[in-house]
Formats: sequence, C-alpha cells, structure tokens
Amino acid sequence: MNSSERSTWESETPVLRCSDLHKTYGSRPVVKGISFEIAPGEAYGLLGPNGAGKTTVISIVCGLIYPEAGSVELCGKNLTRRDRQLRKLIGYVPQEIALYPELSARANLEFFGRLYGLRHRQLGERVQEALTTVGLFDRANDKVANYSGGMKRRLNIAAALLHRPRLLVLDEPTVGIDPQSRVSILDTVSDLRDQGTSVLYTTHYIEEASRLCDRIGIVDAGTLIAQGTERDLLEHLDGSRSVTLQGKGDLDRLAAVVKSWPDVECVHVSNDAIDVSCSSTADIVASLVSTAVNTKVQVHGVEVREPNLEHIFMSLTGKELRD
Amino acid sequence: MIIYANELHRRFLDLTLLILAVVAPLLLALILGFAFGQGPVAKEVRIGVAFVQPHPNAELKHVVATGVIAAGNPPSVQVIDVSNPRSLLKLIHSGALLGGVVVPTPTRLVTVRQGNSPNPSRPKVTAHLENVDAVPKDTVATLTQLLRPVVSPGVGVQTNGLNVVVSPNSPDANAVARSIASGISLKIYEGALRLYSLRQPTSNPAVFASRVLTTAASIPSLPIAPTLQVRSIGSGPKSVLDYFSPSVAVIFIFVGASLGTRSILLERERGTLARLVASPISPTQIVVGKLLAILSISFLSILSVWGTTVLLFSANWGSTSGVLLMCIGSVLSMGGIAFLITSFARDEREALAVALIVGLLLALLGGNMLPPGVLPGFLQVASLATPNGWALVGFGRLALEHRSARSVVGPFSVLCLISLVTITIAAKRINSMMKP
Repeated sequence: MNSSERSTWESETPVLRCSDLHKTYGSRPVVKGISFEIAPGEAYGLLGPNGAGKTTVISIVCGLIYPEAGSVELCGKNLTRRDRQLRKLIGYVPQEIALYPELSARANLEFFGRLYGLRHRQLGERVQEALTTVGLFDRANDKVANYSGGMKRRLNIAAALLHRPRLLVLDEPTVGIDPQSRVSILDTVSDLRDQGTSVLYTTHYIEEASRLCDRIGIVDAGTLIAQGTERDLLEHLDGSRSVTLQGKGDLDRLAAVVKSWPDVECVHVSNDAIDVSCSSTADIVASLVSTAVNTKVQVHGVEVREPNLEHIFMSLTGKELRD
Repeated sequence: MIIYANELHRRFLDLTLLILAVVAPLLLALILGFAFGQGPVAKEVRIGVAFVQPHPNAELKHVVATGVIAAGNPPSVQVIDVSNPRSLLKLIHSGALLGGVVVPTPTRLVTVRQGNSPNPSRPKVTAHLENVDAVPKDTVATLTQLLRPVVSPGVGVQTNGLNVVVSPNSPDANAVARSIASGISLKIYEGALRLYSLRQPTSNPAVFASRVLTTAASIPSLPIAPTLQVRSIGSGPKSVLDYFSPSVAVIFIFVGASLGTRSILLERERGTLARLVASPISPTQIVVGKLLAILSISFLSILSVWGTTVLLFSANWGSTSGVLLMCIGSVLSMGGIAFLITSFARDEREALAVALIVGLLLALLGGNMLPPGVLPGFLQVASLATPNGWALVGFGRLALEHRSARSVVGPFSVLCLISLVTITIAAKRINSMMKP
C-alpha cells in the first residue's frame, strides 16, 4: 500500500480502535493498557512471544471476553455485550480449527453463514465464494475430518469470510501447516486486505507479519512495547547493522584501526573474526577489506547484517524462553 | 433454532441420534421385553371348568366364577364352562382345551350339635342346620362341603376336593389351571375364615346355627379376594416390565443427556464455541439451542422405549397423557442434572466420569435398580431427593396403580422444579465457560 492510499485510510474513522485495554486473570494482569487502531483496508500485526497477551487482546476485540478497563470501538461504535449486531463487522478466525469435523465443508460454512443472518440463495452464493477464495470449492462436499491440516486451516478462514466482515481477525492462522498452505493463506489474507478488508493478525512468525502487515505492534507481558510500520521499527533499532570479517592474521591490530572510523560504534574480536557494529554499512565493507589486506590479514569471508524485524523483536522482547 | 438444527444435524450425521434415539432404546426395550414381558403375541390358553353335580346351584357357580377372577390370569386365558367332567376330559384329550378344573358335588349337610367336650371351657357345639327354615338348603350344602378344611370341629363336611386336569403337552395350561383352582380355593377360604370367626361357643345351638347360616349365605356375594387389588412389584412378570421399562428408560435418558451435554465441553476444546460466541447470536441462544437438541434426543429415546415395550411386549405404562407428562418431566430433570455436571467439569473426561458416578448413585437411590418398596424406610425417603425417585413415583402411579394423568401432576411439578434449578445454575456456568 502506497503512502497516498495510507493517508486516505488514516483520515477515515478507524475500523477498530482499542483504547487502554486492561484485563486480569485472577491476580495476574495479562493486558496492561494496550491501545491501537486499525484503519479501513489496513493490516495490523500483533507480534509477540507466547503468553504476551495477543490472544487475550483478540478475545476482547471479538467480544469473547470484556476488559476491566478500556474500550473497543468498531467503526466508531462501542462494542458492548448487548449490541450483538456489531459483531457482524468482525470475521473471527480462532487459533484452533474451529470447525465441525463430522460435517462437510459446505455444511460447516452454511451453518456459520446462518449465524450471521445469511439465508437461501445469498447463503449459497457466499459459501461458494468463500470456498473459491480459499481454493476448496472442489472438495466442498467432503467431510472436514478427511481434510489435511492445511485445508482445515483454509476452511477455518473461509468460515470467517462469509458475511464479508469489515475487520478480519486472525489468531495465528498458520500454526502447524506446510509451507505451501502457509503461502496460500498469506496470499488469501493479502488479497482480502487489498480488497479493502481490515486485518488484525497475530503471529509469532516474524516474516509473516513483515510480509502481510502495514503496521506492526510488538506485545510483551501484556504491554504494547512498540508499534509502527516495519520501516519505523527498523529505524527505532539503532546500531544493529554489523559487518563481520572472517580471516587469519593480526585481528587486534585491524580492530585498533577500525575503531577510529567515524561510523563505527563497536568492534569485537574473536579467534578468527572481527565483528564491527556501525550506523551505516555503505563504506565500511570496502574499507574493512582493504585495511585487512594492508594489515596482512588473510580474508576468508565478509558478512553484512542489515537490521530486520527479527532483530527488533528479539532486542525488544529479549532472548529468554517463554512458557 | 440455528444452533438447535445444527446440533440435530450433527447428531444425525455422526449417528448418535440414531443410536441414542432408536437403536439403544430398541435394544433396551427388547431386553426388558424378553426378560419380563409376554412376548410379541400372547399364546391363548383355554381352560374348562366342569361341575360334578349335574345342575349346580347359582351360589356354587358364583363362588367358582369369582374364584376364576381371583386367579388373576391374563386376558389370553379363556375359561369355559363345560357341562360335566367327562366332556371336560374329552375336550382336553382332543386338544380343544389345554386343561380344566373339576368342582366336586356337596356330599352332606352341615350339622351343628351340642355334645360332651373334654374341655369344659370349650363345649362342643354343633348346629342342626336342617332346623333353620329361613336358609335355602342348597346354599348351605354347597358351601359347607367346600369349607371343610377350616371350619372348627363340630362343623364338618366331606368333599372330594378340586381336581385339576391338564394335557401333558402343555405346562402353561398346568400352571393356569392350578391358578384357577387356587383362585376358587381363595374364594372358599375367605368364606371359611368368616365362619371360623363364629367358633365361640354358645349355650343356644339354634342361635349359633343361625349365625353360621347367615354368614354362609353371604359368602357367594363376597367381593373378590382383596389380594387382587394389591399391585406390588414383583407380583408377576408383567408388572415387573411395567415398572422397569420406564425405570430403565429414565437411567438411559441420563446417559444420553450426559453424552449430549459433554459435547459442549468438546466444542470448547475444539474452539467452535468461541466462534459461536463471537457471532451475533447471544450466549443464551447458544445454550438454549444446544440444550433443546439434547433434550429432544432424550425425549425421542424414552418414547422409543415406551413404544417398543407397549407394541411388542404389551407393557402397560398407564394413561397416555400421564406418560407423556412424566416423559417430559423426566427428560427435563435428568437433562438438567447432566447439564449441571457438565457445567462444573473442567473437561469432557471429567464430565463423563462424574456423570457415571452420579448416574449410578441416582439410580440406586432413586429406585431404578431396586424397587422403592424393598428399600429401607430412610432410603425410600431419600429416593424422593432424586429426580429418579420422583419419576418412578409418577410412572408407578400410572403403570401399577392405573391412576389418571392428574395423579402425576405432583411428581411432574417436582421434576420441573428440579430442572428449573439445575438448568438455571448450569446455564449461568456454561455462559462463563464460553469465554476462552
């Protein structure tokens, strides 16, 4: 999505506005003041480690649970327990395969379509459309129990598309499936976004968020610790670019020279490599190699690492294991 | 309605509807029917009754007729009057009758005389009935010859007794003919007991004789033995079927309802429940739709057991409207208990385990396994703390006491109250269970 399009949706009423959400399970706070908005046609990714509070946020957005504080607005209207019709704006794709295995794909979709008020011919058309969207039209009459994991995941998404929601909420929709199915799901969601459906997407696959989402929010321990476009987040992470030169020779002497260069922030020497952290790698690589040759260092290889979302994610959320 | 229809559709596809509503009840009814019922077609048993006396008087005929009724045989037993014992034997020999009872002729009249007794406090008193003109002699003769075994010394008759004749090829006829003979004896003994109560000696033999004759004269018009009015469990295979059919069906309702409500927990684990809650329909609609589907299947189950036992095994559950009322009450209350258990369970395995234990306890306490009549007093009271107990009170009134539908309004109301309480609590808990 280009900047002119983005400025268009930014000026409109957000499809979703979460304001200062708080939720506690027992005495344990799981969501602590999370706020974000999703504009029409925007894909927003919630990225976070296990237990960060992503699913709780999604459950609040979909009206499965209610926050102790804060509010959820859908297209400018407050989501309350009583206003059930507002839920028609949301298409919810749960983390689990929320389908009836004993029913066929068509029967599943017909049932979920009826829940959203679809009937008769319109229901038939929407079911056909949803099955076509996820590439399962040919297997529509097969029992879901006989589907592969990837097919079930796709059908899981189809069940949320029947009523053409303004906001599609997907809770880790690609867990446990093969790469082909994952690509297919990402393509489907991407197409829906391009057609104007807003998307709230939670995942811990960083490349999915990077590929699909216009903006990303990083959640950890119930707090939204960073949010913005991928570029915004990359700019947020200073000093993460690095150049590593592998070779043999007097690496300490080389390090002493390199440290004096203006863009270099930090130099680390190990047995057979020198690791240079810098704000820009543009001139560093050539200078490093020529200096190494001049200092009689035998160069075996050079690796340049540009900052990416994973670096940001790991630096923000830490490397310790999460349960 | 969407949830309700979907539940039934899924149950139909995964065959649980067929199993719970048709196959299992049918099997259940067949087992009960073959164990306690009369079989699909009750075999007709024809038994003859013949009098040795060529022209028996009306009183003797009446005693015999009421004795036949007192035997309490099923409608498939036909009792036919035969002119004399010889004809009876011929008919049995030809196979026209399977058995018969020969009623003997009176041999002599009762005499009541006062005589010498070794015990001064019990003087021997006999009566000359011939001296009492007011009583027809035939009546006295007929009765006194039948009362020989019981009447006190001094009031004696001689008789040849009742003879039972049966075809050797029919053990059923043997039992039936004996039961008819017993019925006649029962009637006779009832009269005899009345005479026995008059044994108090009196100084005036004429007064004593008068009392004896008055009592004897009233015997043919005595009502049928009161034991026929007592309908106790275990008194015959038929009543066992009438009692245990609804009794077992009530347990079965609970099993079916427990399996049905367990699916709510499965849906929670599967995630479909969250998807339903996220939709525009309210949690109350979800709970009601699912519950209605479960109750409908349970209702079909009990109707299947009822229909099968009645149509194939001639079970008598009683008044149709009463049975329908009790079926509804039982389904609601047992469904409510199953729903309550599910609402407290953490997962479907726990729900199933608890349901098994609770179901067994309710069945034992409520009288589904042992009739309430054989339980100790405090357990009989305790049975009324269970929906099973109340269900069986209602079904018992209809099937065993043959009372009207109005008689089960009380038990029905209690069952409705139980269901109201349990379903209200369960629905609240299940509403909160829908949260992820």
